[in-house]
Amino acid sequence: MKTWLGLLLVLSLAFGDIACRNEGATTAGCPSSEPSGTPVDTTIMAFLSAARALHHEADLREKSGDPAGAIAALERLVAMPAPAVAEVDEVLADTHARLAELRLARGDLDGADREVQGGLQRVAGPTYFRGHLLEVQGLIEEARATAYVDAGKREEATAAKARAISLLEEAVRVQEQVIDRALADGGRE
Amino acid sequence: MPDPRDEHEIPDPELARVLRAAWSPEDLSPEEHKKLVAKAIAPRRATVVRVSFGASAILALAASVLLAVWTDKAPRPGPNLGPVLSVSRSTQSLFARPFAPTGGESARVDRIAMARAADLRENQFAKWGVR
Repeated sequence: MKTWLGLLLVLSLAFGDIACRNEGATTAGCPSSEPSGTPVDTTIMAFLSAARALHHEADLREKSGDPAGAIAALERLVAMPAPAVAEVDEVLADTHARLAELRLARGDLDGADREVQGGLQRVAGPTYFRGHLLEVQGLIEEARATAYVDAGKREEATAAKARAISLLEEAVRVQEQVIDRALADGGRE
Repeated sequence: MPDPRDEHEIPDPELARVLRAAWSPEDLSPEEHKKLVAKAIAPRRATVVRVSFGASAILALAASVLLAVWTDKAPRPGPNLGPVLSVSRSTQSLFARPFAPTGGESARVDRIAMARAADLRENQFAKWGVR
């Protein structure tokens, strides 16, 4: 009788395992497995929705001649608690880039540079977002070089100009990498 | 018809024994006791138990085979991990060319939000099993 029961147990486990491995069958009672990556959920969507609203608010304030109001709207966005996912990092990097542009337009070169650094921390790999941040940083150094020229500081101006050229070249390299990858992938999402 | 009150009538001996046992039962004799015990523990009982467990095992085995075959043939959507959900990822592929040196951030966040809103809707439908 023990032999019968042992045989029954082994066979039941074996068939149970087959049913769990079976593609397309129910997994009730089977060991579960987590899908890779965070599924797009309402938290991510809520953040993106807030980002969209604040960028449009910044548009309205810019158009009405209120760059300080536009900066304040975008600062609210970068201060919000954010889910740690790729699309949120990219939106925040782009927001830092916009803040850098706004500060640059107001002559706040150091503030603009801080924004670029904040954005670069969000996007490490070769993306248009990183390339854009490097481009904005190049524009900041270009503006700095002009400011040094106006102040009669030739050496500082030359150094700033060299940094600007280096950053703009780096931006182009990043963009080229992105384009090469996109072409290799066939442009799929 | 004989009259039961007739003193000369001889009663049925079996009936008399049963009535007597009911009224005043006696102990079994040792021989009779031994015979009953031997009958109760005869090998026939062990055979019945074995046959019963064996039949149960075969039935359970057949049921598990049927279940495995049935679930193999039953059409079900998606892999065995449940519905396939859209996961968070870079939005790079939403943009075909490098960004302009200045401006365009609102248009980009519009595009990202719309793309992920579509993903979220798909995920909800997939969870509800209506995709």
